[in-house]
Amino acid sequence: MPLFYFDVHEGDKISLDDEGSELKGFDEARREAKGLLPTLASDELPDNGDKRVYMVLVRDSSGQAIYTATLTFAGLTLIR
Amino acid sequence: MTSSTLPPLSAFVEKLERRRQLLDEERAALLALPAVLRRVDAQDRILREDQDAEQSVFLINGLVTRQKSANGADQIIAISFPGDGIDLQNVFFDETDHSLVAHEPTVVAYVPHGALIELCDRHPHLAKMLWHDTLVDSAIFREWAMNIGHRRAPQRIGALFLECEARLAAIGRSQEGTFELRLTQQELAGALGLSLVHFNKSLRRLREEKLIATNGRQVSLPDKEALAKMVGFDPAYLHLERPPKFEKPASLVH
Repeated sequence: MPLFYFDVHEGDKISLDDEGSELKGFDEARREAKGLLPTLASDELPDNGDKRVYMVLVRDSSGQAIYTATLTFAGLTLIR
Repeated sequence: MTSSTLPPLSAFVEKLERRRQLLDEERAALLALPAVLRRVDAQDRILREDQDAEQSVFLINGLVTRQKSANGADQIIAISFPGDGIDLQNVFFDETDHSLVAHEPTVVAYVPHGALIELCDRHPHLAKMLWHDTLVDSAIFREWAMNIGHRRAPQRIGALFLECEARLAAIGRSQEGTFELRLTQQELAGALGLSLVHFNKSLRRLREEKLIATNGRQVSLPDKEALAKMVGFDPAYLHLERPPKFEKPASLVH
């Protein structure tokens, strides 16, 4: 099965995927990207601030970028 | 540790006796149970879901997972190691409610349910030991439910590896925190309710923090204490060497 690489950009932090995951094809890679963003956010948001942008970049085995998605969280405290 | 020279249920007897000594006649009775040996390959199905429940499966050598299917997909819900009486869970059920799958060349023994039930009638203390073993399985299921419901991905993964390490160490198959686990990343991710990519990323974080190291199917836990602390792991629920408490008050005392 082909390898796909999922780089995660969170603010200024970039986590490059140098191992890859074996998936069936583009459709599965896209599904994984869509599932990954919300779970990454829910793993880390509670401990962090109120403004976070998570972006995932999916590359195929040749290194070419084939899909990207962004999840933005903007929280605002309304009471003092 | 050649399985061919020992009675099939020896490893299971050893597991029980790590918790509490059996009487000589109980040990003999267990070892004399009718057992049919079977060798299977990776991905072979040892037991099928929704079939007549007629025999129990004891794992002699290899790796087996318990799985349940829903919406056409199989979910790993438990892992079994040599010595486990994997399948005392369906003894009093009409039909099996899960399947068992091998993940490497595996040797199992099938014992008819009727023989086990007769054994329990003849040896009440042994019956309680078997009952206790299924209670320990339940304790592990409870821990898994909590693990998936409550822990974040890196801790979930850490908890699973710590459990496997403890169970394998009890049977001499983990040396200084290093053991073999022949499950694919896909299978491990599925067992933990994580997507493959999320699993890989979280595992990578654990590697970077030097809490877990992997080399093919080999897993190492270089700092078990630190990992256990991060996870909030306490192996007590495994009852590896904890004796059952059979003597309890018969009336309530306030």
